[in-house]
Amino acid sequence: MSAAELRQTILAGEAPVDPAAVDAAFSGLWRQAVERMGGANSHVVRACLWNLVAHVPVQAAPGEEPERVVRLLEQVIPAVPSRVIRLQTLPPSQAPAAGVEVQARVRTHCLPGPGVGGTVCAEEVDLSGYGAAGEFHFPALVRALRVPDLPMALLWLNALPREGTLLEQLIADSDRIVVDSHFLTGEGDLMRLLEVVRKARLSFADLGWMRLTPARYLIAKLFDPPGQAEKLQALEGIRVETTPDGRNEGVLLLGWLLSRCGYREFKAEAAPAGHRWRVRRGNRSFPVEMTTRGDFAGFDYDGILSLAIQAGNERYTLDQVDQEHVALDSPHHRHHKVALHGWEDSELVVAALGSGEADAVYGDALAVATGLMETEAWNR
Amino acid sequence: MNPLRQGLLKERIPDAQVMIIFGGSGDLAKRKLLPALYTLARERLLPATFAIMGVARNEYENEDVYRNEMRQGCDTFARRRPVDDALWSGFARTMYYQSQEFDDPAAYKRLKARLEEIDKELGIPAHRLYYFATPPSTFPMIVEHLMGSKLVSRAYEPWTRTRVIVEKPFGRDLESAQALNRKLKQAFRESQIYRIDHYLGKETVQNMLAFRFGNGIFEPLWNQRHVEQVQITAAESVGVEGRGGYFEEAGILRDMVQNHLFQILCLTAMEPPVSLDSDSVRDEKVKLLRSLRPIVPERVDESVVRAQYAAGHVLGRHVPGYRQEPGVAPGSVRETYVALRLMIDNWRWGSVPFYLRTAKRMPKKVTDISIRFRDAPHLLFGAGDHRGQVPNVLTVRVQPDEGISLHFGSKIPGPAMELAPVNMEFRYGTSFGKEPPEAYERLILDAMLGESTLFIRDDETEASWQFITQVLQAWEAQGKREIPVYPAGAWGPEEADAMLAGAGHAWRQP
Repeated sequence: MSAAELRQTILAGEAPVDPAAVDAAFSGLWRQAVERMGGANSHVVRACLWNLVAHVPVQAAPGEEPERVVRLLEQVIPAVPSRVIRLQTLPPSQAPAAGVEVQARVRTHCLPGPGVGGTVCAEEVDLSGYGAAGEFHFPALVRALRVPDLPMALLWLNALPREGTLLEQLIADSDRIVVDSHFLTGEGDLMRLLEVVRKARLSFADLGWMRLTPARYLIAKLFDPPGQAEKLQALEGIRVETTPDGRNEGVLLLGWLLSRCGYREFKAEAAPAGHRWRVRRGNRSFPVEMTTRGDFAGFDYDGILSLAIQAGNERYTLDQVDQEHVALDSPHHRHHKVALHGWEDSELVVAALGSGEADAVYGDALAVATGLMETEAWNR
Repeated sequence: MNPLRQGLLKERIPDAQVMIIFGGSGDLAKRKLLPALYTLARERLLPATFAIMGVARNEYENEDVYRNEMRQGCDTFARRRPVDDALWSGFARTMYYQSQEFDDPAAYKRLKARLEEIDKELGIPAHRLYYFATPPSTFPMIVEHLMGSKLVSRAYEPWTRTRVIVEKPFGRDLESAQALNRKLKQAFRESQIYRIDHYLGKETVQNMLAFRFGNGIFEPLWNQRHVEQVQITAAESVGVEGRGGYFEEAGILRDMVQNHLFQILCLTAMEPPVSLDSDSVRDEKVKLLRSLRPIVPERVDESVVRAQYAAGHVLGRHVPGYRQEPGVAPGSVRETYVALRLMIDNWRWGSVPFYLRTAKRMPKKVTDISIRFRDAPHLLFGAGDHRGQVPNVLTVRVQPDEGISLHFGSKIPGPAMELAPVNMEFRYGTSFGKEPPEAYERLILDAMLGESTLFIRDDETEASWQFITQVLQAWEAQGKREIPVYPAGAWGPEEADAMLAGAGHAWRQP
């Protein structure tokens, strides 16, 4: 039995997007889906755990790929049945008719229910706003179209908007926000993210931070053997090397290490290449360096290339040796190569929609990371 | 405390481990353990540094033959199948096997040397998780040799902990369970021992905690004021499936009630724990088991009915009776069905009967818990012909088709004020869009992480054996006598119906 995918457009009119019409369109599509899937599964099960509101960028800036968000959601929905509301702002010239500011398209994607018969259908609403005027409609439409009594997660997986209040308005209605700091490469973007985190009284997930988790495990493991954790109180230097597009991961990793070890004071220092800071606590100080390297050809990878920690007269290192392996070196792990499983973005989003616990460790790491970026060392 | 660990524990990926499976070539390993481990690997829940060492009597030409046999098991039984070639090759690379007799001291020296080699290959010393998937008679012997070879340590080692998972049956009565506990504790601290009951790994069984204690609306109703009776059914359509010899020794009371049904009973009836840590939950389970009203030996038949299946028809097939099964004595009076009426002597459940039944060769395989609430105090609808009397029943389906349904009355559309029974359904498969993990996946992962909430503590196993042993002794005092029979494909003997009829109750048809 194959999955069925059906689409319908809700035409513009006096009330351009009518929630009742959207629901009626879904009912019609589901009936068609059941017929198309062969009738053996004669009933539709509406499975819905979340309202997922996703911002889909237009192809306006490097790294902003509209299809990436669409593909990602297609992979997420089977694991987290949700009503998806996708928001995309298009140029007014693409409006289907003069005067149309917003248009909805509904889509359903149906799969055989796992093990219990029936057909499980997803519900997806695409809202296209034409120009700034169209975008103004989004917050109210999201309020009208969301399934009542279910939480709402906002997926903003591209650069933060430079103007307008759409993000703030959507955040106000959301229970959770999922961002990807990897793409926040514009000047001041991470700082704005920190502001959002501080202001928002909602649970928060950053895919860029979540991608660091396997590496954080391994780095933490270096300090698990008896007597090793104490060395972190005697840090003598940290050096991080990243790919050119992995700078945000690098600075978040530094933020994590420094905040966990209680170092929050730093100032920029001159460096022949990359960035360099002097970190201070009481009478102790040590250098922290971050560089980028683009000549690591041979494997497809973006992120942290190496980390070296000098502490208590010992050296602890982690080096990415190929796409899936890192080498660990420490007093207790001599040249130890281990698998470092990365996660698919869709798996990260599913995890981000899981537990809603506030991640205080992330908040601390981001605060230190943005502090490092506020120094003059960052923009040298 | 390593400050870099903060916030990482919830990720649920264990530290480096070597899992040593005694009985590593057996049926359990092939059907359950290796498929569960493979699925954990596929879901990237195993540590990056992980190895399996199978230990059993079987001899293989080389380790690749062992790996291939385990792959067949995964291909057939893993939840995520077919097996992914690339993933399997990485998974199987650190799968080892040693053939040995369990009573051979030299073999344990060899085992120790192999494990030290594996540590070197992995690059770091790893935690060791022993899994006893062998007949229980071998457990004391294996423990003795592990101690003799210094393969286990009771000391707390943050970097190289040893733990042990012990499969059921955990003893055959109170005395043997106590003896086994004493033996295990010579080698391990209680916190290192994980007595497994795979029912506790089932998502729906765990959901009983979430359902009861994570929602405000049910717990106020969960007591003798609102609940009339509780029925727990664990029915199997299969017979003894070639395990006639084992079943002759055990019987279904030992095989199912002492462990699985009592665990379900505990989670259904226990008081709210103060937290979800392992001891808080297990303290409440032990309190519940100790609240079970003791059986009066002379009146055991009033609250426990045993029976045996005769030939009959199940799922469209003619099937033989128990006495015709291979390995079963022709005059056997071993029970394949047992039903119990239990009373819990505490404030919450004072007058509520808990009916438990489990059997082989029932019409279908089903495990569920049904809570029947008391009727409305005044009948407004259909008082004359009782058409307004719809029982409110909450049913938790443990298997198959895991979920929860609430049965209640609703007005039939139309001019008349008549009620009809309707169901409100929750199904795991459709609500969450994915099937729940296999019980062994969850339990093995928990043991690797050192989380013991879903495992059985020593006093818990002894409290349940204490109750079961009373029944066994009462039966023994009756001497060998014929027991009721039920035809295969029926829901049990008439005697079990009669046990409920006295209270105006009847078994539900799951």
